[in-house]
Amino acid sequence: MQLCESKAILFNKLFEKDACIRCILRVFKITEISTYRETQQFIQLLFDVGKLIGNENKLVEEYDFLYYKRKREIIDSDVQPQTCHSSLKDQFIKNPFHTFDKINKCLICHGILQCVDDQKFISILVDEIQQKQYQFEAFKFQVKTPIGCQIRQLIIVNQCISEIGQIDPLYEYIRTPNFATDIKICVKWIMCSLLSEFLKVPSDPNDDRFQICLNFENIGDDVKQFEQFKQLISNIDDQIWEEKITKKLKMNDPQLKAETHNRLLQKKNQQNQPFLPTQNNLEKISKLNNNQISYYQIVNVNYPVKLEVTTSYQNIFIKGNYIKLARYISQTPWIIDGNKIYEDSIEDLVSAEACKIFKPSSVKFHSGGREDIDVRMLGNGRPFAIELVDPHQGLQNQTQEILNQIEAKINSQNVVKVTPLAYTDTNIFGDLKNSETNKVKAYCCIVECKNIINEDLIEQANNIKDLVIKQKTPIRVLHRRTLMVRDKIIHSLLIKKINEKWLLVYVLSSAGTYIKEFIHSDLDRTVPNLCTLLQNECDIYQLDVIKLYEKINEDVIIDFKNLDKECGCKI
Amino acid sequence: MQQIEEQQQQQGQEQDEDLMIPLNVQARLSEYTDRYFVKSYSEHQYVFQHSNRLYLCGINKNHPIVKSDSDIKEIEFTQKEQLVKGKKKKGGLKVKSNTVMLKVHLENGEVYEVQAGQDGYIIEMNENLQKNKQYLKQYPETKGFVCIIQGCRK
Repeated sequence: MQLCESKAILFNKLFEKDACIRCILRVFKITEISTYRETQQFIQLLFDVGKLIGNENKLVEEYDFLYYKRKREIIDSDVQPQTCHSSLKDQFIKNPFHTFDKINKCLICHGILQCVDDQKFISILVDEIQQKQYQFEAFKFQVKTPIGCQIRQLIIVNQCISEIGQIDPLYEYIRTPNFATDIKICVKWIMCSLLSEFLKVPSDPNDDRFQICLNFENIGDDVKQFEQFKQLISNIDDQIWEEKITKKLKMNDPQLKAETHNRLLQKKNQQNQPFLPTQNNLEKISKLNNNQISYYQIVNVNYPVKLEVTTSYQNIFIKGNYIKLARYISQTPWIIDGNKIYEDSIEDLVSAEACKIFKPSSVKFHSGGREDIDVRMLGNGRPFAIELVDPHQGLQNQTQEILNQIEAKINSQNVVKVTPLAYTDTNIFGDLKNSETNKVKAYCCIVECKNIINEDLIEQANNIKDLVIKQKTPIRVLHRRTLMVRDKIIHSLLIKKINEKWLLVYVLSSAGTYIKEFIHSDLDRTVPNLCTLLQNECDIYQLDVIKLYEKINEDVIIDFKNLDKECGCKI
Repeated sequence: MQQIEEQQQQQGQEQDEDLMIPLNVQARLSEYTDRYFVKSYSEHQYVFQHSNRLYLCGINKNHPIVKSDSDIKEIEFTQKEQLVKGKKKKGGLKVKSNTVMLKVHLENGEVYEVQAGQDGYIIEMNENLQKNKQYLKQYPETKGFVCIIQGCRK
C-alpha cells in the first residue's frame, strides 16, 4: 500500500476508533488480495504509518495480534438472550461463528473479517460441510453480510474525516458512496483458498453445480442502527411527496385529486411503521449528505453474529414417457387427513429408484397433462419429468448406465413402465406445457347402449370429421373448476360393434376433452355427444388412452383408423 | 310428511388388465346417476348428492307433471338469473329448500310450482329446459334435472 501523509492520518484515526486493519484497507479500496492475507505485513504497515504521523511505535504498541486491531477490553453486551426481543433470540443459538461472540470486535465488520481465517473456525466449517455428504469436484462460494456494516462504515469514515478537519481531495474521493471494497469480496479472497485446501477441491466461480453459501446475519444491531434514521428519512420522503402532490392537484383532474387524497391517507397510516434494515432504505441513507450523517452515532448493542451455512447442488432433471398398465393408481400421492387413499402413485413408482441413487432433498414430478385414476395410459406414453432437488450424490451418478438401471427397475414392476430416460434441463417445462395444450389424443373405450344399435348411424358417425363440441364443466369436477363452456374438437371416430348393445369406440380428439362426458353426455351438458349421434342412451364402461400425437394432419387420421388393427388383438 | 328413502350404489366395476364384458348378463350396468350420486327422494322431488358434495335437484317420477297425460306448454323461471364466477362459484343465488324455482304450465291449464329442494347457492339452472321442455316430463331424473346447488359452507 502506498502511503502519503493524509492517508496515514486517516489510517491512524480509524485505528483509534477501533476498526480492524482489514476494514481500513477496504476503506482505502486496496484490491491486492495478498495484502489482506499476509498478516505479518500488517506490523510493517503500522510502522510505516507511525513514521508518517511522527510517532513510529505508537500503533504497534497498541496492536492486538490476535485480532488485527487496537487492543481494547471486552465490554459485556447489554443484551442477554433472556432479555432481548423474541424475534432476535435466534441470534444467540449455537452456530459455527459462536466461538467469536466475546472478542475484541472491530466496529465496522463486527468480527467477521477478523476471524474468518481462524483455524478453529475453518475446521468447524469444513466439518459441517462434510457431514452433509455431498459429492462435488469444485465449489462456488457465496457470502452474505449484515447490511448494518455499511451504515457503520459510513458513519465512522465521516466522523474521522470531520475530526481531522483538513480539506483534501483524497478524503472527498474516499467519501464517495460505494467507494470502499465490499466485505463480501474480502471474505471470499481470504476464505476461498483456505476452504479449497481443506475440502481438497478447487473453488471455481463459474461452476454452478455445487454452491456453498455463508450467510452472516446480525439483525439485532442492524435494526438499532437503522432506527435512528427513521425521523430524518420520513421527513425527506414527506417533502418529496408534497411536491408530487401539489403538482398533481394543480392539474385539476377530479379523478387524480381523489387518488392523491387516498394516497395521502395511506401515507399517514404508515407513519408508525418501523424503519427496517433493507436494501431500499440503505440507498435512501447513502443519499444523505455529510452534514446530515454527522448527527448520528454508532449504536453498539453487541448482538452476536449469526452464521448460517447452506450447501446446495444443482437440480437434476430426468425426462421420459410413462405408461400406466393398471388402474387405480393416482399420479401423485393422494392424501386426505393424513391417510393415503390409494396405495401407489406414479410419482412414487417412478422416482423411488432415482431417489435411492441420487439422494435428493426432495423430488418434484411434472407431467404433460394427467389422466383419471381409473384410466390406463397406453401406447407411446405420456411425457413427464422428475426434478431431483439438491441431489447429494449427483456428480458421479449422472451417467447413462444409471438411467438404464433406473429404467430396468421401474419396468420390472410391471405396473408403470417408462421409455428410455434422458437427462434434460429447465427447457422441458415448455415441452410439457405444449403437450398438455396442443397434443391430439386417441382413446379407446367400451360403451354400452340401452337400446339396440342402429348400424346406419354407426356408419354416419364413423365419417364425421372435426366435429366441434361444447362441453360445460362436468359435474364430477365442478367443485374445483370454474363453470364455463369449453369448445373442443372431435377429429375422428371409429366405432366397432361387439354385440347388439355393446360398442368399441375409438375417439381422436383435441387436448383437454372430457371423453367420459362426450360418451354419456353428462345429463346433456355436453352437446353434441355420442348419445345424440347414435340416438341411443350410452354409458362408458372403461377408458384407455391409446396414443398421443403431436398435431392433427392427414397421416394422423390414417394412423388412427388403423389403430383398431394394432390394439384389437389385445382385446 | 316427507318420506326420505336413501339408495346407495357404489362404483362396483372390477377392472383387470384385459377387458371384461359381461356378454351373457342381461342386467344393465349401474347408471351414470347411480355411480356417482347418493340418491334421496321426497314425495315429489329428489335430491342427489354427488361424491364431491354438489347437489342435483329436480322432480321425481311420482310428480303429477310426470304422471299427467298432457304435455308441458311452458316453463317459467321464477328466480332472476345470477351468473357464478370463478372456481369458488361466487355470486350464486341463495335459496332455501322451499324456494320456488320453476312454474310449469301444462297444456291442460294446470300450473305446478317446483321448489329447489336443498338449502344452498345455485350454481346452475338446467338450460336445456328452455329448449327441450319435455325433458322435465320424459327424463325427470336425468336430463330433466332442475338445478345444481352448492351447499352452504360451514
